[in-house]
Amino acid sequence: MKLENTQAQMRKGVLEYCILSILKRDDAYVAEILESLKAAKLIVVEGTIYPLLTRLKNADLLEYRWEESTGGPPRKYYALTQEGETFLEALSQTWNDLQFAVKNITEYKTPNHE
Amino acid sequence: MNKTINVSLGKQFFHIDEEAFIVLKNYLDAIKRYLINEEGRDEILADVEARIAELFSEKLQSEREVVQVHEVERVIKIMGQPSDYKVEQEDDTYTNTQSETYSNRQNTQQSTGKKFYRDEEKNLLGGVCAGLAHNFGIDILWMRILWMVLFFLSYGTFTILYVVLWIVVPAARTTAQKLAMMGEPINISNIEKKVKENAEKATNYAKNFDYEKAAQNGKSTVTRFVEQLTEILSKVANVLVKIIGFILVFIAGLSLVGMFISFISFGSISFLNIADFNLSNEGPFVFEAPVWLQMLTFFCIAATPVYFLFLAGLKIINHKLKLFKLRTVVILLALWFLAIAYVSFLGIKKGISSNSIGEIVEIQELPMQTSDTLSIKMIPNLTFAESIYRSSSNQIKYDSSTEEDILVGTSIYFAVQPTTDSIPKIRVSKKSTGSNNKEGRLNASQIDYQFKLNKNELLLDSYFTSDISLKDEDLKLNIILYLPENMHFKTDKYVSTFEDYKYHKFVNLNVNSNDVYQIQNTELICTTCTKNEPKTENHE
Repeated sequence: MKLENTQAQMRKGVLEYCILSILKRDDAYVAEILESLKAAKLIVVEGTIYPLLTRLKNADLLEYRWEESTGGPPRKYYALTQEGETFLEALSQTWNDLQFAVKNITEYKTPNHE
Repeated sequence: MNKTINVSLGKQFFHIDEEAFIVLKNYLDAIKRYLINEEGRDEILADVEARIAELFSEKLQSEREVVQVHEVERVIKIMGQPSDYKVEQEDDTYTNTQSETYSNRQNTQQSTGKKFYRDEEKNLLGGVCAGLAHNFGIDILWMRILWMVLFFLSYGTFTILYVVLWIVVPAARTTAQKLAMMGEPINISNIEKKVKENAEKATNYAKNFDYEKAAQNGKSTVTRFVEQLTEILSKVANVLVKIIGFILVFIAGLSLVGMFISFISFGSISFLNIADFNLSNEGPFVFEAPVWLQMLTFFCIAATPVYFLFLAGLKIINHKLKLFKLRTVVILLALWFLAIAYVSFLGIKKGISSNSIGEIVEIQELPMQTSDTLSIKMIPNLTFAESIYRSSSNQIKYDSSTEEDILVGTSIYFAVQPTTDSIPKIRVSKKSTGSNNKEGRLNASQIDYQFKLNKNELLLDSYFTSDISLKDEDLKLNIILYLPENMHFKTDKYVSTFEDYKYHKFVNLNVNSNDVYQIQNTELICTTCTKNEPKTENHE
């Protein structure tokens, strides 16, 4: 059992949830999504995000449109689809449950801290 | 001065340093390989390129500026290593295969069973073993070892079966056949996967091949022929080496099994005291240590090198196997040296214990008329020996009269000597080895030897007996018969078997028991021999 594997798995689910959450607020192109994720220290290197985005798009959770940019080639703007919103809601529910469960379990184990 | 290359990256135009270009190209190719089974690979790559272009343009002051290596390296640092692009670790391949089998279950028209094809991609000869290995779902190596074993056990007749299979079984050529051989369901995604893998291989091959082809164009036909010949020879040599490897593995494996079985059987018999091997002086268990321990020691000494040979054979067959772990090797070698040291210790101990000889001498007068002819006879004991001969080794026999085991020796040396006394005398010297003289004498005193004088017949036993505790000692008996001058004597034919050649003047007694001898002026004379001359002349 490798620590990296477990960490990667934990992060992967959370990462999808976060990307969808970012896009729920507003449509964004990759650099903007990356900025948020980096600021939250959820990812270290950018490479990870591209396969994820493509998969979410292929799963019809995301869609994109091309938009002109000021000083460069057109950019891919990602947006949530209807399906993506439903998916995100389900994920939020799961996340809250998980958070509650994890908090309960981990804090029960260390009662000294309270 | 550096060459620059113009590239279009994510629909943007860049001047890029040649070295930086190579680094960037390798990076993108590596990502491509990592995402080989990813559905939207091209799209992902396009996105990545676009992002890299964006990162470049952030830094570049003008459109004329050249992208340098350090810039590419900075971007790679931001984007991450190719492995970072793979979000999923090995667990996802599991779910992938699961979903594949699931989808396969839905497509009922496809068979899930494996089909037997020859695998010509992993062949050594015809790929029969490789195909069988796929079919049975085991490693090719084991299948080959099995074939080698069958080959030897069947005295080579399995070769015929191999050739028949080679001819009869078709090779897996198409992608569908390859998938069927591996037992993977034949569906679009699998075929696509396989084709992609092959395409990747083919492109790489083509890339390398072009260079080789270009290089070969400049070479003469002779050089090319020689090169091809060398290639064929090296392939043949490779096969030969592998065969040697198989033979090595086979023989070493069998020896190991044999040694292990004998170790288990002998060792456990001794350890559990089922039978007492100590009674026997046959075999290698000559040391004063428990047989199972000696067995273990000998097993270590013999099995360790064989085990290494076995591993070496496996290594020859498959270079990729990592068999020689340093710790194991060190432990085995240490055990081996320990075993050798132990045997040396036992040997030296045994050598020391038997280096002194103790002797006990008994002299007895033989009351008889010197005018009579003394008849000397060797009397065998048919219970202890089927034939009469002299042997320096002791034997353990069962004495039915005492119902006990008894040590029997026939290391008897007989000689006739002249004496000035008027009466014949017999001198019996018993000798035994021991750790010191005293022990040697004590051992010698346990030697039981019988002879008797019956009128003018001297009856000598052709054996002596002793306690079985002396089985490892060298026991020896010297008999010297002192006869007055001119006294006549004759011997039976067995006496000459036990003659002591140290007294060569008085040996070479005729086997003809009718001949009568006498000692005259310290010479042995045959009085009835046809030539009637001193026997000693033969020796002079």
